[in-house]
Amino acid sequence: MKENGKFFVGLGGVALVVTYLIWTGVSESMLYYLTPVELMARVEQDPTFHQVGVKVSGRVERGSWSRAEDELLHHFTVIDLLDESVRFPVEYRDILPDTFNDTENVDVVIEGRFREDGVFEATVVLAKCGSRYEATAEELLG
Amino acid sequence: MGLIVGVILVSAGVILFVMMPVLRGDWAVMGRSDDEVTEVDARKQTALRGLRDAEYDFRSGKLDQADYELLKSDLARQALEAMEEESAAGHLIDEGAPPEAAAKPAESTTSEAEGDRLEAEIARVRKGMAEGRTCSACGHLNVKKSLFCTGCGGRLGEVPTEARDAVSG
Amino acid sequence: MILLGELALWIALPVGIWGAVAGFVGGRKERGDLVLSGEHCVYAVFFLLVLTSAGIITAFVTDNFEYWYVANYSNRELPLFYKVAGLWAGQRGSLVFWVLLLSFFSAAAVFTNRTKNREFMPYVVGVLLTISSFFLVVLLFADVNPFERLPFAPADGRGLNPQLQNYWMTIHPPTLYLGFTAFTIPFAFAMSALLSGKLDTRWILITRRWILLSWFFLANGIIFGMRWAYEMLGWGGFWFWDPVENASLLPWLAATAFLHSIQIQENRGMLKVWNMGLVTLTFLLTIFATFLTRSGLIESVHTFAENTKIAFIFLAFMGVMAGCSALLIAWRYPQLKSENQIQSFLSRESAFLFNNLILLGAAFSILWGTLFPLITEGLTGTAIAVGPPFFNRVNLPIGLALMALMGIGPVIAWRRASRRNLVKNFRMPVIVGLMVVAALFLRGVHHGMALLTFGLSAFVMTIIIVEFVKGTKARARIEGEGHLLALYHLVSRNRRRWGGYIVHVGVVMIFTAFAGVAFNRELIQTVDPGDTITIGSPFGHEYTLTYQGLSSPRGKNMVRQAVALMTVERNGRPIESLTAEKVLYVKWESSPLTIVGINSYILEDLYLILENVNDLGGAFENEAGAQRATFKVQVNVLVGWIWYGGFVVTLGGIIAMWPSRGSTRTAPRTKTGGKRPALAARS
Repeated sequence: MKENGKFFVGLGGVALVVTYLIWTGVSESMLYYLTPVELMARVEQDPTFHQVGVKVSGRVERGSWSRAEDELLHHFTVIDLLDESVRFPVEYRDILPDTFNDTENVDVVIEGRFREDGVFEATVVLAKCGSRYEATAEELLG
Repeated sequence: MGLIVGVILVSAGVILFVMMPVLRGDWAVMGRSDDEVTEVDARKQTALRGLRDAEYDFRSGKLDQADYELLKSDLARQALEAMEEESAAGHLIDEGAPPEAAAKPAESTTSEAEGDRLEAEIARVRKGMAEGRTCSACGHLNVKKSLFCTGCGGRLGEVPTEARDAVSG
Repeated sequence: MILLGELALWIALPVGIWGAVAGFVGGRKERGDLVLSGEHCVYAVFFLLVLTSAGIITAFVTDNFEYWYVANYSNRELPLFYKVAGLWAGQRGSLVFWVLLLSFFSAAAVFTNRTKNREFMPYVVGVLLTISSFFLVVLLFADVNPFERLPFAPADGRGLNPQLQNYWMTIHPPTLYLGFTAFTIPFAFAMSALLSGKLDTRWILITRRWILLSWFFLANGIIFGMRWAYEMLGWGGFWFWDPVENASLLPWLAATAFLHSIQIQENRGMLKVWNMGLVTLTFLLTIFATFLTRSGLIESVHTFAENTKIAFIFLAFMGVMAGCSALLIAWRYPQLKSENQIQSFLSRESAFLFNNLILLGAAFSILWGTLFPLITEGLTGTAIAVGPPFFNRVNLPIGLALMALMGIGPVIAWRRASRRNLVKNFRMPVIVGLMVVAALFLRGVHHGMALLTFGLSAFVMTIIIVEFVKGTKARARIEGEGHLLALYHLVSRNRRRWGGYIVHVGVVMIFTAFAGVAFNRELIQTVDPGDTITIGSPFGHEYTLTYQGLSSPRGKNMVRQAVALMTVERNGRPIESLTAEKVLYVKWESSPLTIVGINSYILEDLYLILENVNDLGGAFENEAGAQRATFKVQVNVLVGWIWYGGFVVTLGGIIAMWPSRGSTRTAPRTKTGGKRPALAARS
């Protein structure tokens, strides 16, 4: 019907624009979302992977957190959730979230790139909100 | 002990409350009550509201005179049709106190004065159509005994079939 | 009491199921007794949920740590405030909270319709109780019973995460939940319309206020979340495109689209199928929002602990709801098609349609970006994520287009607008917009997108102000009233329109605030007591902060607290001092909490974060040498306009929703339909 024609033209137009925006948006800001194990495998296969922006989810190794004196620079180690032998150091130059610590099992998601020297240069660090970690009966009863 | 009593009271109370209608044969109101909005009335309210909005749009300069007249006659016709349907169905509602629309919509129903004014307006249009004074081309309501429309210059006298049917109901 | 509450939950399920069945059967077979029974079930379920909630709250308030849920979210030292709020602190309790609110709204809907819209109510009852029963089934059978007990009661609970121990915790989740659950009512009426065959606009007229109410709570809930993040999180921002944030935005976008498209159906009788689809989509998105939060499907700082069982159950529920709605719409499709057509591209219908398409486009792209890791992992084996740059990039043009529409909408007439009138009405606002852009450009603002935003903002504001002026003058002339009275009557006679315009003003203010982010300044510095930090703002103001030192008071439930004090001067004149803190709460010693200091002005905020103290332990003990600290100082440009805009949106929403002085009922009401009619009387 005639009115449907106009409607679908408008719909098509907006759909096209939105698709274009999504397409370019994705290509400009996409990050591979990997586990440390996958990251290591990628880097081994493809040395240029050091240049690629990635997002990694893992866990902070207990006791691995240190902070430079007088400088906003954090160091800590991230280990894989399943295979603890796979780990790498992380360097981060911004404020860490309050949920971050290295005394409990804190899960983190970091964004950045994995440098040639084996250090992960992080631009974003997110730590899982502690309140969402629910204690088991054993933990509660001590 | 207190707990058991409490539970029994609550359960029994709830079950009784829930099953009472079925057990006693009490029926909920199922049909529509007389003063409730019907679909026809909803259409009438929409048309009247549209007329009011159109008038304000015209006065605040968003509508041309020509567009306004057209819109007005179109909406008036819709309101007329709805009113005719209503009277045919025997649900003629007192025009002075507009019925409460279902669930009291966010915008108010027209006040008595405004309702009266609009009803008078529609009555005029209706009469005009009946007497062939409303121009079928541009909707302009002309003075009695006109031969030509002062709005668009077209010839008056040919009452379009729609308007005639709506008026005769 | 607690046990009573637990049993009430068990009683509620069969009551809910019976009520749903009674509603559907009663509607189909025209059995008024079943319908009445169903309506009683709605009231009963609400009553039982009140008992359940009271039971949970009692457990918290009496420190009954035998209950796993209480032990996880409370401890003895916790202020009473937060013990009561424990009801919605975690996954399990928040499910109860959801059903409580849903059953409350259901009871309200049934009560206000006890003598009207009766043809709809049987199926409304059926749908509402079906949905409530679903949640009850989840609570009772999916390992999320809040009344689960431990083998014995531990001495004390874990306590509430310090990040949740602020008043926002009592405001933000409840407001959002109110918004989510309230939307179930319009959905139920829509399904009832489909089931009963009353396919005209009545279901929309009946639920208009519910739609507005839901939208209102959603908007406020989202803004509260932004304020919470800004005030409490210590990152200096208010939105992070976190999956759960996005999930709450989706139903709001759909509800906004729906608010506009129903007007097309009301005024022109068109888009009936579209509206049916949109109400379903919005409802599904409310369920999706809670699903995303509960299932842990997407990594988020917000998600409850991961729970696959819940994930599957909710997915199945959404699938069933979507399927049933689709079937119903398809079944009624022939009767839903409208007689009218869009007459002109240049019309308000057209503008509203664009509004819908754009809003849904935004929703789609946000959904896409949020689920992208899942989609790519499913398709290629490797997960790919997109972050804030993606969302900002995609939504910026959409936001600009929406602003333009907010300016065009009020001016363009229904059906067919005349081009000449449009040009005439746009002339001044466009000039004002261009003047604003030029003035800002000359003052040094060269950021393209921001200029565009500010220009559009001026354009829309001008149009809305002119609308108010023209409307007031027109009314004053017609009715012969003074201008102030005319304005009052003008708004009061058409609350939805004028309330809506005020909402648009608020939204424009918020978008303007977003543009301000492009001009934020920040600085990171490590200082000893006596040192100063200087930061300038784009408006030419200069702030000098002098670090005074750290002190160590200790508030309730805190182990330690370090408060850094900065005296501040603005352009050489002293203003209110700023404090920034790091706090350690009882039981949460490994996670210090950052509390920021904010000095707010109309055009900018001065924002102070205590990033680090070299010797935190020493600082907590008030040791002299432990005073060196690192601070992040920010000037956040125009951020206050989000909150001011939020107030305006709230005001507009209240005006739009305000009940009008309709004419009073003249016919007497009967409460029930009486007894079962004699068989002969029924046809």
